Amino acid sequence: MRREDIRKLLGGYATGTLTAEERQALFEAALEDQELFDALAKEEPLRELLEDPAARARLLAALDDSPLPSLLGQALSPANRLPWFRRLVGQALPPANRLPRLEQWLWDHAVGIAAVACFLTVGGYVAWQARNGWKPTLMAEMERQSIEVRDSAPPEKHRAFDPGAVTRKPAPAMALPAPPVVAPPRPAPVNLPAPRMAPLPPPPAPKSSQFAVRSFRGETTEVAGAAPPLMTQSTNGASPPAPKSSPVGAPAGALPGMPAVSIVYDSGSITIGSLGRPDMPQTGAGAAPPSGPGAAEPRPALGRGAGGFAASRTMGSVQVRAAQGARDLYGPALAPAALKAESAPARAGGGGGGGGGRGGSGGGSAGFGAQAGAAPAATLMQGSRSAANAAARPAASLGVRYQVLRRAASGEYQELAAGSDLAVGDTVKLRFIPNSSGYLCAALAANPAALLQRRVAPFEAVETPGIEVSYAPARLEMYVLFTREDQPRMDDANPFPFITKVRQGASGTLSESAGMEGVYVVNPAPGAPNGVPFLIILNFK
Amino acid sequence: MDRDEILAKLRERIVRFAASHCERDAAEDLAQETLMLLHEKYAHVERLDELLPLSFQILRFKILSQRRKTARRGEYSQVSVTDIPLPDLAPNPADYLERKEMLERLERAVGQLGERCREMIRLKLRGKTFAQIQEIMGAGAINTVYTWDHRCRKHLLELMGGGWEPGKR
Repeated sequence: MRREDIRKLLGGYATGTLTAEERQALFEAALEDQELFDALAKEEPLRELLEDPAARARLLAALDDSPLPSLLGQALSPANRLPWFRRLVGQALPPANRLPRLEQWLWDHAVGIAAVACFLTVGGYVAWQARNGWKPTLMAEMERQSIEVRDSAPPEKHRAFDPGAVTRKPAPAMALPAPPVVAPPRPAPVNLPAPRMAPLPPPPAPKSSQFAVRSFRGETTEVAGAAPPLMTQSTNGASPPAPKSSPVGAPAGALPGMPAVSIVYDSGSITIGSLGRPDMPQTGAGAAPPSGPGAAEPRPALGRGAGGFAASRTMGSVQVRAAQGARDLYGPALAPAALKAESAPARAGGGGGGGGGRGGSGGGSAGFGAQAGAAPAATLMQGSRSAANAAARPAASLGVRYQVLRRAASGEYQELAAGSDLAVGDTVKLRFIPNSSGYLCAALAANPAALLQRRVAPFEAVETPGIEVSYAPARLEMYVLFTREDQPRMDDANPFPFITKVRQGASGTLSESAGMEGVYVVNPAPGAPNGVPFLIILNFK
Repeated sequence: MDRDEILAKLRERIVRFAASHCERDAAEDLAQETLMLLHEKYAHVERLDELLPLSFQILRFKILSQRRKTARRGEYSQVSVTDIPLPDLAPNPADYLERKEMLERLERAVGQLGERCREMIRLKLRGKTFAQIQEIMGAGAINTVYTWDHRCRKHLLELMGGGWEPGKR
């Protein structure tokens, strides 16, 4: 035996497989070859282990209980032939020495065998179909229909249209006359018989308590509720305002599944620091929206230590994506004075700290829509008249109007119109004005603790605390949910049900931006069982 | 080859092998102790196929004992001698665990082998010789079986990390 072959006997040493001659040859070679001697010495632990019958039995059991292959490739690999297969086939084929050959042959040709089996199966099925194939069952038969043409001629001249009887006459050769003077075509007098079916009833007079709206998915829905006095174009009962952006009414550029309302600041960078939620000043229940003398003082920006954002400053721009019709469905747009008068009782009980004085014609008052010059005067007047009754009437569609306010250098918060610039370092807050009494909850995605969670009166303006964004990436997401019914308080420890609810429901809402008035978000569904969930995204440059 | 000649060659191999595990002086001592034991206690063993496995076994025990002594003496860990328990020469839990771990590693490794290797090991553990294995597996020549077994052992050793015992290669 050659030296190279003797080395191959190493594997038989520990298991005691070697015959006496093989052992002798191996040991003699080991005495001459240090490397072989070392290898033999290293086999000693294995030999000692395998001397134990219990260890041998356990190893044999492990060899028999091989796991099934997880991949077909492994199964087809010659290195991974399966003992279960071997047992299955081996018991059917008694000569033990034939089994490995048969098994090897089967595995070597496994792919071919599988292909042949597939071919036979498919071919057999096709042949069976051709012979005993199914015949289509006649479920309905379309008969040739005759078209009756009714005109002023006597009824016996009515003919049934027979396509076979139609023959094309050769066109006569004619000389083209001089082009006539083209006169405007006159409609030929047509004597139409009276329709046989009953005439349609005249359109019903629009009810004052109903108006049609087009939902986000293009459905027309009757929404019960008081007709808002300002919605002249949509309460006339003729037709709902059609969405302009897309056939389904989705706002241009809005992605399916995306929230209906989003303010997207085209570029910019926000870095959102950790929000300390418990100590964050809130416009919570009982806390009034900022007003009064204290309102002149800017609410302190929430530093990181105080549970706010920290920021650095770059410039950006604002782009508003909105759907059409939400403003009409929202109801009356209230004038600052009306809002002030209406929200004053709600504010009376709260000392909510400075929300920032509002500039504009309000002269530092806390009225909504402080830049009154931007709002039409008619709207303001009508808003004033309707404000008194607005709270008493149920809203047409449940909706929320919101505005983004930015703190100016003077410390006052000013409303931003759509398209305004935002920059990292700005301190912003959001103002929400629901059109019905309900329950408003808002939370930041960066730190989903309830930023705002309180009951609200109709057209009561509530504001979030000031949010300062300090460093990139400057993207601020806020989940907002407004519902009629009281809802369980958002669990700060587990905000995901709230976030999921907003994300899932946001696609069913309508939104519309209205310049300085902010963005209107409504849920056109009757009764708005899910409330008005929407997502606000602010990107800062 | 007579016994003295075998022992002379054996000593040379043992010294070199032990030198790869410990210092040269310690290797000389190990070889000397092994040969003394073979000479005094196993003087009746003369055949090579008995002497060599016996010497491997003795050598392994000596190496393990030498490691324990090193640990006791604190050559690598300066621990107070009062903190070191007296050694129990009977099979101790550490040996048991080491053996158990080796068996588990072996089980996992053979589970990853190909079917031919598994069959080869299965037949070997059942006490079949290479000639019988050749017949069972239908190999054309016994050298083919040697080659299969050599490859399987190499693969198994790779799957076990290069050595049968954990951490020892």
